[in-house]
Amino acid sequence: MPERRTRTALRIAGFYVASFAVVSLLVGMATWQLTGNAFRHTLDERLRDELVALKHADDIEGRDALIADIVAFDAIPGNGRYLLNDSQGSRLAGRVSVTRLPEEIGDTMLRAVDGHMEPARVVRMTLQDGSTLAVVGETAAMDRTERTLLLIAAVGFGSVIVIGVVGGVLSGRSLHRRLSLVDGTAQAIIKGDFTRRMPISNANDEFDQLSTTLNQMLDHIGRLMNSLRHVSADIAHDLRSPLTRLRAKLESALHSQEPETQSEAIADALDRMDEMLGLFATMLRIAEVEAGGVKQWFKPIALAPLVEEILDNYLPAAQDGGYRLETGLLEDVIVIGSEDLIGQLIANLIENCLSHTPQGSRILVSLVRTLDGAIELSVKDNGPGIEKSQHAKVLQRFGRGEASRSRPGHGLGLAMVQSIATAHGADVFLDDARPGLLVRVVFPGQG
Amino acid sequence: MYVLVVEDDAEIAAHIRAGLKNEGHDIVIVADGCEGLKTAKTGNFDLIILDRMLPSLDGIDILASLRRSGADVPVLMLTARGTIEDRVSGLHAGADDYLLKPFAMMELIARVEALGRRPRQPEQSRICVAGSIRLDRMTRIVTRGGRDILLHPREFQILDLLMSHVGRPVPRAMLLKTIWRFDFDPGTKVVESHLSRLRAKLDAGFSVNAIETVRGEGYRIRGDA
Repeated sequence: MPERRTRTALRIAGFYVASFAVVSLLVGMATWQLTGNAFRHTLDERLRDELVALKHADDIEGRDALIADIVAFDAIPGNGRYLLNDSQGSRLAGRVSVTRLPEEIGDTMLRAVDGHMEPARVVRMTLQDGSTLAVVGETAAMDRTERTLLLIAAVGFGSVIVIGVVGGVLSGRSLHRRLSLVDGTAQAIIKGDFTRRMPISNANDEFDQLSTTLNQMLDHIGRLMNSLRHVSADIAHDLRSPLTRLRAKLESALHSQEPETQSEAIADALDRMDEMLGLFATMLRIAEVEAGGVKQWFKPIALAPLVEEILDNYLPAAQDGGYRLETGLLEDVIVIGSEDLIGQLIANLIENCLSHTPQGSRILVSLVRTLDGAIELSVKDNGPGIEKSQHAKVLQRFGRGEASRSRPGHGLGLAMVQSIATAHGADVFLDDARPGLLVRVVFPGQG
Repeated sequence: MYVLVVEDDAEIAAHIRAGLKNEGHDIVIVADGCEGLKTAKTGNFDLIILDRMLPSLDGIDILASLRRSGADVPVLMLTARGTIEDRVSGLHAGADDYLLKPFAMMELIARVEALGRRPRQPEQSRICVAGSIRLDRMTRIVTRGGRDILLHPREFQILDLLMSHVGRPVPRAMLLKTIWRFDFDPGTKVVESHLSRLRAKLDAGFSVNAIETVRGEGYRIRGDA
């Protein structure tokens, strides 16, 4: 839905531009209104003060003094600012000329000496003898200031709109571009290219954060898919041949006439089936452990008692086979995990030694905390070891070392170890013990 | 025992009926989940064998509903899905035991009997006898023909389990699970080597082998040992 996505980006930009515009318009209007009012108020105060001062002159010093004052003020070049009419309306003093004379205070138009009309403010008062005294103030300068203010507001308003629109479009477009990169990758993955990953820029921003998370998710899904693919392949690979042999066995038993042979064949078939079911269970368990759902039951486990318990279980079997199963240093360490699974991991490692080393071999199990706080479980034997080139292979399913092809075992033991270790965040390392094999399972340290 | 089997696969249900009937149990079979719950709530059963996946109502839901209503009848869950998650959720919902399909009939019978014994005799009897063998759970002393036999704790546990099923085979998987807490089958002879030790100690100086291996079924202690 590319159209919708574009609309979303533009909508966000449009919303911000409109918001900025409305707010700056409101602020501009309020400023203009308040400034205008303040100017007018100041002018009115000044005119009223002058009027009171003139009235005072009239009251104290008499009419002639008032007229003298007005004449003196009018001597300053200009349009004149004062007016004194008697009760009949004839002019007594002052040369200002206005179109109208409101009661007390108000707007008027002033007729300038050159004949122009100019807006003005006038304050008027009726004296005791009924004559009229008025003071006029020109508002032209004030109006000019107001117009300048309006201009500044308009320029600011325009800039906000322009910046808003440009910024909105640019950020919308950038949003669109980043999203379409993610979208394109997702589309490619849907079409089947599972190797694709979300692009990550150098900005290390929220988009990169999201892409990193998505990539981790894709990696996890990839592992699950891989595991599933493996399980299906494994079933085909390792169950088909024993099933074929089983079928042949039962078929020949069916044609046999001797009941003894028949019951022997049936018992044998049951044994083989149990073996296959065991293999099946192991494959499913590896898949389940790899899927990671087992982590919900993880809890702190004391490893040393667990190692001791498992070794105790294997001691008779080891002694019967002439092996020396020994413990080295067993430190008191705690790991977060599943007791059952780690138990199986230890058991599988010992099994591996018992089935792949000659009788009389020595198996040493130890548990130590390394210098960097990690916990290392190691199982060392002095058998023939595994060639370095085969190390990676034996940790995979059915990845048996070439040397052990002829021996019993299905090659899932170390694969199980690997998947249990991975589920616990641990790493498995195979090393040459000169002679023999050293398997180290390194669990991350706590905290 | 009066046993309810809730299982929708008619063939498996018939197999279970035949096996348990042979052991002298009375069986009621229900194939549907909802009906199974109704029957379980009304009938006075000694044990319920419950399939995990059922039409109309899941085995786990039946179990949870049953436990909510206060029924403490032992329940053995059957499942074809062997995941750890499956097992944990089953036990969490109140199952007493868990058996993975496909199973050997001996294994089912052994589990049924273990569960059937549990509620009626919460404290197992102190002394257990099989022929000339006598096992004291309190003092942990084992004798055969009056002669003391010194056993490793693990060997004592194995003998104890075998002697709870005198004359019947105990499946290998049950030994692994009960004694070693292994819910996987180790490839090497963990069970075999412990048993051979136990056998050597029990049979020393006697002509009758106390423990028999029953092929495909497990290990059995003889009643006349």
